Amino acid sequence: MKTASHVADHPVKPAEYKSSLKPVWCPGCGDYGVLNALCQAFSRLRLKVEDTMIVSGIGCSSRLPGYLRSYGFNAVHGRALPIAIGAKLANPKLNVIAAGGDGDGFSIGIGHFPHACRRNVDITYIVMDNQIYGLTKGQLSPTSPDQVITSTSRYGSIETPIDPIRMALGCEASFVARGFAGDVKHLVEVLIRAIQHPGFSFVKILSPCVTYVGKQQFLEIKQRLHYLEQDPEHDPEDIVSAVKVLHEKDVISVGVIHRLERPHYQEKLKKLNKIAARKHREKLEEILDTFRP
Amino acid sequence: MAVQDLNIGMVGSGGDGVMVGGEAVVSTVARKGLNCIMLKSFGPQIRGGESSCKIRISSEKVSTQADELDVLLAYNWKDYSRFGSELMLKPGSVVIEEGEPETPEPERPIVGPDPGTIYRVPLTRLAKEATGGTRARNMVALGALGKLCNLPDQPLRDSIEKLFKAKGGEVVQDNQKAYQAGRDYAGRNFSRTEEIELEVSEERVEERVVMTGNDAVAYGALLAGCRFFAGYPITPSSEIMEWLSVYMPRFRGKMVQTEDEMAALGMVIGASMAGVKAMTATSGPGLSLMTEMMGLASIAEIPVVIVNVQRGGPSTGIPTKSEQSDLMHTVYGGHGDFPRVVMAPADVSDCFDVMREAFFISEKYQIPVIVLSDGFIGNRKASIVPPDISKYRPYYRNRPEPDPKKEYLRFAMTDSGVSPMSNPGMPHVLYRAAGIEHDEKGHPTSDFKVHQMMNEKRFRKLEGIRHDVNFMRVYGPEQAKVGVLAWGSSKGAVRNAVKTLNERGQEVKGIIPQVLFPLAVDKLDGYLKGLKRLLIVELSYSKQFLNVLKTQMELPPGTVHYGRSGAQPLGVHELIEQVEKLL
Repeated sequence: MKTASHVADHPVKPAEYKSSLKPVWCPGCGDYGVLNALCQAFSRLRLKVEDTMIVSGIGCSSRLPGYLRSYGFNAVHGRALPIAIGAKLANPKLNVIAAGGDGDGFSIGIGHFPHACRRNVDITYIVMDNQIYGLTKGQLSPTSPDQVITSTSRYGSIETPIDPIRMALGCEASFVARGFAGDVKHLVEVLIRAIQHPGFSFVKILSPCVTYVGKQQFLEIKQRLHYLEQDPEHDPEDIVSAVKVLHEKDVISVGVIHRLERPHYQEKLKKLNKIAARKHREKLEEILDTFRP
Repeated sequence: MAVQDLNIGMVGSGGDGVMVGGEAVVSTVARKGLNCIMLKSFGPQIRGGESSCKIRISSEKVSTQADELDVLLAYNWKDYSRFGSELMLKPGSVVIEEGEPETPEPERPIVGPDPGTIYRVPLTRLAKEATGGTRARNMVALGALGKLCNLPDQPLRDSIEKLFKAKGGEVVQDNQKAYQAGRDYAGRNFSRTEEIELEVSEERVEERVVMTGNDAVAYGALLAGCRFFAGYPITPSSEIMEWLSVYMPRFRGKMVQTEDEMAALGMVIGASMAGVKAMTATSGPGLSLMTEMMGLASIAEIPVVIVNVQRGGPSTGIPTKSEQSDLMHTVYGGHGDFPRVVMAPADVSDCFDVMREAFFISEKYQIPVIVLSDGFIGNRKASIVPPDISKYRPYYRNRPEPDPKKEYLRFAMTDSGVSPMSNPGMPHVLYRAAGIEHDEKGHPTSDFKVHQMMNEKRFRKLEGIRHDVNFMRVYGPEQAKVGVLAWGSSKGAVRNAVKTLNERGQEVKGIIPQVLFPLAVDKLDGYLKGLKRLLIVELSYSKQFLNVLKTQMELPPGTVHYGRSGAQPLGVHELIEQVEKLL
């Protein structure tokens, strides 16, 4: 976030960003990788904890704020985005990160997503996608694959899954990236780029659920990984490149899929406020005069 | 003898200019230091549907429409029939109608007794003669009406000029010509009816401002230090957001129209947690959607102000009319036990006071405060005494000292239930807010002892609130044995009814509490002491006010209840009829 003035004047170790609470995630959960990557990214960016705020909804992934030493808000299901946006607009100097899972973000919370993308408020939204509802113990998710058997699709899912990346691109998001919790080193770089991007950054992180999907997913994904940074044909500023990524079948591309700089919400708002204030210089009490007959 | 109280109604189709005529009258009487309220009523169409307005003018404070009109201006009778009992006439009412083409006798669907006099004014012809077109028909009518009712000429001209100034000098002139034509016609053809001539003082006049309840809510919020508004358009509260859309940017505040009401209250919560006083405004359906967020704000102890401009319910209900049927939802809505504050303004002026108090309470006690306005107050235009802006002393939440040596307990147990609240950006006093139950540090817990302790903490705030805000309006003699208890916009009818009954020698008192939850029961008991009969009045079919009272206090023996559906304001005669049953 170019807008945040939050750099610590001395190096901070990644471990110093962790809170005293021990995560309750299952051993081997992808979210550990995300937590570690975030801490390393914060450390590299030298973010001040007091200027950082993590807002989440409900779910396993949404427990994240409790494990970080910054300001945080574990709010209600599906509503991390509006709360995060409200906080950022109120105090643009904060680094604000919204976090949640695929259910939180793309089932109940999906109504907020297009507007977060198109408003382009300067926050980072990370979604830990494990294609299942973990916290409530194994129900179908909007990103669950076709025909998958879950506790609420006992005979196989008959719903086509949604692709959050496709949706982000369709909703004018100015930064769309994908990462993998099993490759923390790469994820750190993606997160740094996302946080630094001036505008709404969407990062979908494949974060396998070892309990309800199985740890073989880690290996399956790893085998298909394709690093966009190493792909000379991928141009993050070209939408056609991004669409190609959407249609890939054998590989899973990770890295920055699409990035387009356009003025973010606060800078537009700042300009607007300046014009409004300059044109009309009345004091607060003088507004009463506008009501005189 | 000229009168100090006058009731004028106007009705026509969308293009007739009914509302402009109404605005001109309101502005005119305000210039002469008179009070008035104007209620507008529309058909469902966006353009061209039927529209009407009712204006009550008085030298005394006005907060309710009279039941009947003294004067009716009808551009056509087809539209009148759509409003019917809203524009009821009384014996001796005077009607001004479009004279050409002439309306045959049986075709006037008048509600009430036959009018005393009907003036058939060739509005269209006069407009054409004066301006070449027919658009200024309403100005001709205004001229005739002005002459008939002794509305002061120069202020009326000034109002017309102000209304049309933006459209250019030629338009203003045309309208003034049409107005004069109407005035001249009335001078030549109308006979004088002193009972409808307004008494206008020529001495120094008191100042007035003209605003709606929604204006007052919005301006009041800005004065109280609110610098963040997020909302979703909904009848009848959108005007609050629209006003703030103009003024928030001028004071470096932020206003966002969100994608839905959940996002609206969500952004408000985020902004408030980040340190900015924040609010939203909605109506019943929106409040239902916001309910989950309300609970979140309460358990996370984040100050928020939610304005609910009530409308007819349930569900989509009746968007353009008002009711008092959201009360139980505001007081008890939401799963789980969580405290909140419910305050109700009684008229347009009161909106200022209530907004100031609402922000004060929400900041001091870190609790959601719901301001229960309604469509009758929100949309009515009133000529009122300018509010006392000097009373505003914005209050900000109590913050902790950033001490690196002490562990910060965001939700520390305190006697008042209020624990200092840090803002993101402050070092050493970091915390994580949560909707999940938590301990003093903010760590999630499922322990029942901690849960009990936290509930006690949060609910303890209500005690302090009860002492800090407990204003109640009381009318009538202290020793009265019969009382009326009501809330919100019912105040107008209660005040009028109490006055009328006492003038007739019947001692009745009226009580209008401003804070409905937590109710200052001791204070209210003081006012109810000695009453032999108490009438509880509300515009709620399912007795919501009665229930909210019962759960907070013992009602005296001899309490009766009168409640009905809304969509029609509480009438003075209606109320008097109910009270007389107790006398």
